[in-house]
Amino acid sequence: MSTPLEFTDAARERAAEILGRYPEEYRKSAVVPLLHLAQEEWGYVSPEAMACVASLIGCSPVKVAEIATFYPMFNKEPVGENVLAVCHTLPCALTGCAGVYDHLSKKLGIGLGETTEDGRFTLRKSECLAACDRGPVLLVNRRLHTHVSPEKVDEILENLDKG
Amino acid sequence: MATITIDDQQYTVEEGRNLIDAAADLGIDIPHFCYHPGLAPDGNCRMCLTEMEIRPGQFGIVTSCTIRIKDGMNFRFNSPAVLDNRKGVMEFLLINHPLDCPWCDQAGECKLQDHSFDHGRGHSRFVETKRVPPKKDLGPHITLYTTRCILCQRCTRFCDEITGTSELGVVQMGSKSEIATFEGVPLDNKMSGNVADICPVGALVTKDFLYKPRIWHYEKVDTFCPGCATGCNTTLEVLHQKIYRTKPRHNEDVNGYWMCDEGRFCYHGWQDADRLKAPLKRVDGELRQVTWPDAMDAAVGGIQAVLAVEGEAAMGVVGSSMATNEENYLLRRLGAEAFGSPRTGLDRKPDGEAWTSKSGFHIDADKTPNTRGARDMLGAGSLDDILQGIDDGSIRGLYVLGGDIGHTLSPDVAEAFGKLEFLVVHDVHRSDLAELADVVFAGAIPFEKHGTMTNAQDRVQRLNPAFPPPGGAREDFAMLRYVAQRMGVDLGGTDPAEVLEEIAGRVEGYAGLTYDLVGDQGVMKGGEEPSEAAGG
Repeated sequence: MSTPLEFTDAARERAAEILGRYPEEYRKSAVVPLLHLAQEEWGYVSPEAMACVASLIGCSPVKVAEIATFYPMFNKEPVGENVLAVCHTLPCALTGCAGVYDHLSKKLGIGLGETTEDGRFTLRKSECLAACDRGPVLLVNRRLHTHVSPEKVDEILENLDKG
Repeated sequence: MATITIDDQQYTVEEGRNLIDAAADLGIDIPHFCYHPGLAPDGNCRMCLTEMEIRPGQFGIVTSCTIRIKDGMNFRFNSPAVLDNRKGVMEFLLINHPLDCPWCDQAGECKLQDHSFDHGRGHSRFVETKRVPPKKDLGPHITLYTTRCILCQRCTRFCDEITGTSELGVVQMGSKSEIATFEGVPLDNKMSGNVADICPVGALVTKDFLYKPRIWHYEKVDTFCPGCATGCNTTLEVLHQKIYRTKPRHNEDVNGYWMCDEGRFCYHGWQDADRLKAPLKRVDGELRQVTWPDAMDAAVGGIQAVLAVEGEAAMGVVGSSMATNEENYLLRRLGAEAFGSPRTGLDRKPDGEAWTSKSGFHIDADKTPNTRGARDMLGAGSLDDILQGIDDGSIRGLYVLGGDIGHTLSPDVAEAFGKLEFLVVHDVHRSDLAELADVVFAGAIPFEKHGTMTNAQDRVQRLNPAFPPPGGAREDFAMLRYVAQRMGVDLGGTDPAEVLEEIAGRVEGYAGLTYDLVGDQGVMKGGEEPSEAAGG
């Protein structure tokens, strides 16, 4: 690991608030919200960020790594401004997620897990996003789009451009 | 006690015990991977599934390791549902497991192998490609063969519950899950070797026991560790006069299921030492190898000369905390009866580091196994009286038991011993003590001895030899008897068991002890219960 990471003062305050929600003997319960905070702070959860969270909780860093690596929505590598995740579980596969993914891949010129050169988009596949009746679904950052199609995807990206 | 029903048979078992242990008490083996009696039950491997009556007439599948026995419980261990579930669990566990038993170090003591044979299907329906994650170097002693791991998490729980160091975790998700350490925080604690013992498969192995002969070739010797005054009970695995592995042997009152890494690997230091294989005698100022009769003549002649010129009590004896109770006892009798000298001493090794794990497993600061016993037998706890005797000229000769490869004399002791007219030493290598001697008897290391020792808790435990001493070296016990005999004193007992009986009649606290009573689990001095539950 390189140099240890430290939260900014503002983030420290929020971390203290998060830790305060849980009884002292269950400090480890704060690991997920603290990882979210770390991801907001640095854009992704590096080993250094995991170690920072572990030191706040007072646990072994591997216990934070267990959680951080379990959840795919914690970015373990730097990502673009917008993360696009196409669900590729069975119901979405049946309703045509492959076409959506291929369209995005061609349009952005990037493959799985890659980020566009301008740093605007990262393309991913995701496990079930719990909207099987409305597939195929696409997660754009924290917002879920349902019944997506190549045309609808173009529209979504345009709206993102508009900001 | 509780009455339970297993497959329509009634049994009486201890209430509150978990089902796996209760069944084991009855001689019924419930297959399991993740449960270990030294760790809290986790219920993750699903191998111990059995059926329990959850409502009258209705059975449900439960994990035996998490079930606590209550009166009236009704189980089925061999119903079609149970057998089918086991087969299914085995099939799942084997999905990514490689078929590398022929070169896996665990083969022969592998739970997966055993359970697959007893409960598996014999063929797999998995036609996809197996995952082949690379092996990982987890720490100084442990390697993880990631492919073989079944994720039972005994190792992670060991590091959480027993050592409290939590270096191991399960990272990633689903079929990509792996045991891992965090970058820069290796599996490096004082007890890390235990994770290889408790790993039910060949995933975690000690680097010390890699590519060694197959486990079924070894002779197993139950003894205890000479590494510190805790005296963890161990089993040595021996082949062709060589120790290949030390494993902890369960003793709830001493070490539980565990031992420390220092103790586990200490056999190397002993077994690789440059040993004395014949006695030595000082000729023209230099120690030379001689025959036993020659050395014996020299020793007895030298002692008699000191006694003749300086009078009785001019010879003292110094015991050793590496020697057994019986050896220290015979030494004291040799001093008292053959030398006419009651003056005894014990050269204490300086204390090392003491450490207690989260669970209470204790590594003693005294890095010798028998300080308590040597003290009890000799009636002396230090060298003070001997050093003073040398200083005031009342002691002109000494008979010293050495035998600790890790001990060097302190400068003042070395200086005092240097002033002696005659020094007989028992030792196992050319130590600084041996270098001062006029006669050196080539003795045995703790892995070559019979006898008992008394640990820091006052527990008397039995030492069993893995192999005989090398070349012309002899057990110190035999030499002491022979020297006494040459000086016209019969020390009685021809083996440690007989001497222990004599000790039982003469040494305070040892009354009633016999070799059989000490057995393979040891017994408290004075018949007391252990003062504090160690083990952890």
